[in-house]
Amino acid sequence: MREQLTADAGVIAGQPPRRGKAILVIAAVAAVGAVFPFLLAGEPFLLMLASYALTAAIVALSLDLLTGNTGLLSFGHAAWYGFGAYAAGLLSKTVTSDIVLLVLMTMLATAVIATLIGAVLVRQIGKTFAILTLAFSQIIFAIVFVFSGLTGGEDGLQGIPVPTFFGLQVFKPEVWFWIFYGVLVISLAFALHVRRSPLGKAWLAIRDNAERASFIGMNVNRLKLIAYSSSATLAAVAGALFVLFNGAASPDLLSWFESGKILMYVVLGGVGTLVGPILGAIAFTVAEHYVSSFTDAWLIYFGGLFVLMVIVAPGGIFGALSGIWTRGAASREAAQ
Amino acid sequence: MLAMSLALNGVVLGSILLLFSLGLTLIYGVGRVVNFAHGALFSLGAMTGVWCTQLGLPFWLTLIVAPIAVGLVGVFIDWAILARIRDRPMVDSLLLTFGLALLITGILYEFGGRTVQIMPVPGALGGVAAVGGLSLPVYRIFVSVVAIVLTVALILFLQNSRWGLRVRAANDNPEMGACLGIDRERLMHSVVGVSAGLAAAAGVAGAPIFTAYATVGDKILILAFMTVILGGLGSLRGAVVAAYVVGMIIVFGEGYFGGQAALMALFSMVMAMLINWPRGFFGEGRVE
Amino acid sequence: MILSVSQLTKNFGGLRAVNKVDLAIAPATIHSIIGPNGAGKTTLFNLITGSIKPVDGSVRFRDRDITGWSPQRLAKLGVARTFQRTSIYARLDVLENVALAIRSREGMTTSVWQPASAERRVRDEATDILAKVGLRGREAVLAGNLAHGYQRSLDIAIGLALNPALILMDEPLAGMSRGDRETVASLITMLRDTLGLTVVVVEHDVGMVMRLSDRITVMQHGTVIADAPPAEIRGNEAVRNAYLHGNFAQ
Repeated sequence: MREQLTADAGVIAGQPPRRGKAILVIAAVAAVGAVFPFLLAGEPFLLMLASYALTAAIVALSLDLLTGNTGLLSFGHAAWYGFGAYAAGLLSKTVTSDIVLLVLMTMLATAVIATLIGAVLVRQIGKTFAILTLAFSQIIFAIVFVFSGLTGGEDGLQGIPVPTFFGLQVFKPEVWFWIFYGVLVISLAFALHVRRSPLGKAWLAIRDNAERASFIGMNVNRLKLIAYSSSATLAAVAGALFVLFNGAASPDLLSWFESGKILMYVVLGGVGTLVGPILGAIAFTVAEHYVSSFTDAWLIYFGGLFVLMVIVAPGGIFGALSGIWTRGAASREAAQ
Repeated sequence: MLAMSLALNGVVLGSILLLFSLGLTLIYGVGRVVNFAHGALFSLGAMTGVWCTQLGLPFWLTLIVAPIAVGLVGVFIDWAILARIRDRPMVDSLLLTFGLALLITGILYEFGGRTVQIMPVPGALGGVAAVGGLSLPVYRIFVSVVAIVLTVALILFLQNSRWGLRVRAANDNPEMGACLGIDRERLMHSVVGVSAGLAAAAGVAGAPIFTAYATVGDKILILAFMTVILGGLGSLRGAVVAAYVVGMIIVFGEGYFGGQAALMALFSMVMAMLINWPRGFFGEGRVE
Repeated sequence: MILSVSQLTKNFGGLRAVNKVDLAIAPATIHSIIGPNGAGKTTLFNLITGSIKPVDGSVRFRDRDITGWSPQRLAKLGVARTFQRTSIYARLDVLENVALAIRSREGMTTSVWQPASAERRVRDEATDILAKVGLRGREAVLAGNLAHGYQRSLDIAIGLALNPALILMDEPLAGMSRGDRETVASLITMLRDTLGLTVVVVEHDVGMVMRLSDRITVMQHGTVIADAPPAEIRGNEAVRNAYLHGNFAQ
């Protein structure tokens, strides 16, 4: 039943890593990241756009950790992104300005709360889970307004101080780019690694056939909860970094529209491909910027595109591309 | 006194919510579609009401024209879009209708939905009715009556017409419906049409209370989802009871603690409900 | 007795699907449960394996009360099951199907870092189990691409990976070709003779069951109407009647 949504993981799981090639890939990825800010040296705005796109990419990856690994579809992932932003913002105004401490504290808080909430949510599947996550995100949204004295309510959380790293202020745009880039690359590498680990394979088992998995002794709900908590925590890290970079948080971060956008990144990119959602997020963020600069009707275009994608390419861009690639490879083989 | 007045308003909200949720339950029961675009259809109904009024249509006519127009839009949506994913897993319908919601919202933005539009109450329904020390705007009473009448009419129609028989057959068991020789495509067109029409009726009738803008349906969509979960997905009488329960919780919560706190209370209740009774009030909802 | 069921009862609506059923299963035997359609075999099976909970009665495994235990706990205890519709991971290779179950048994499903030696042990054990069920040489085949009969063998291999003492099989011969049925039947015999396992089989097909079983329980209308070795079942009047009427009435 979920075949169409996630047509991929069988391919990714179980490939032995090749060490030499891996080192090459790591070196290339690091080099691209290191050089990128200098390519945009004269364009501070583009560098900022790149950082926003990377934030979106981290959030998209975090949602794919949940949806791609367990098949649970969250319509309220912005709740955790926004939660991380508000938590880190409030902590930075009251406790410390050290960026590492702030991120760690946010992670801890999110992991605890997401585990408590998730313990109830993951008992549900399919549409009920989707609806509940949407409802939960509305609650977090509501909380911002209930405690508007603390959170700034409609105006958002303002005046977040510039964070520090061992006493040094972190404010240069290229440094921020490197931070986002580094977090994204490390998260992706870790997610790919987990795919090959026993945990990743157990996730695959509960996604493909939860009944069978429970009859071989797997604790299905616990496995889902691990996915939910880690997914929420990574989203919160993205939110925390975003708010420290941006200097302010708005309740819009928590809106259901934001959740929908995150889901779109993942679906357009290809659920379960990990890389696809990242590409989807980057493409979407950049496109949003350019399209919204010449028409304010961009919601129509993206809504329409989304509808079209679900109909014609449920595997997402990445899924469609790899489908073409596989077909191409097959015909090349046939030709030989 | 406050409590009584809140209870009356709870009935008003519950009635509108009921009318709105019925469409959601219907489309889920027959087509297994969880319609995230239902809220956008509510907004579309409200905005259509505003456009009709701007064109000079009398209020009464607007109240009839807007639901029919949106109902036709619903038929078109089903024919052009939902029909493409009929045999796909349910999550695809979640995604698709979500995209649809964005699309409709985007279109409404372009046609005046960015700002809050006021829909005037006709003179005959203006004013405030005072009953035993309680006062309630006449229009709210009117809306409740309309919603209840429409709901009863729909339920009677479901129970006594050939169309209703088919809908109930498909609702109980889609395969059996197919065996009985029901043309599933045409049935779905009509169900989505009726469902969209009901959403629009709630939207246009509610517009003088809630006003009209592109995202006016978002909040009521969340409430309607809570309603169908509390009542049990696919359960009609569950939805009836749950609509009023949700209406009361929201109105009393707003009256005593503020609107956002009411939402929190509602959500906590839904979570608790799901842990203990995942099949809703009457234990007949679907959990698959 | 390795498994004993007493007074087990389950209602569906007004219907007594399983009514005060007693069952005693001796270790290292093949014990079959047969009966016409609607006799309550599958319900009994699901009650024992934890898919549904009984309203009354108890299930004991060795000296432990396991009534209403979840499938997950039963698996940990060494009670395995196979499925009527073969239940394997079609998108994984054959070896990985069994390895999943081994890791689950070893409590390794949530580990993210695993030493290569541990993974090698898992794969070695999986290879051994596959050899036992006749799937040697097919380790790298995608499970979905296996022939029908081999898929059933793989289903059994996944069960074996739990190191069970008892394995319950839901219609293992259903929908099989004649050749495949022979293969599966000899596999079931092997489980008892070579591995010393207790096998409980719920089957619709009476012929094969007569040949295979040490003891047979016959059910009708939710109750046990006979419980004896195959030779006695063959001559049992009540059983013959049940099958004659059962096939027409139900």
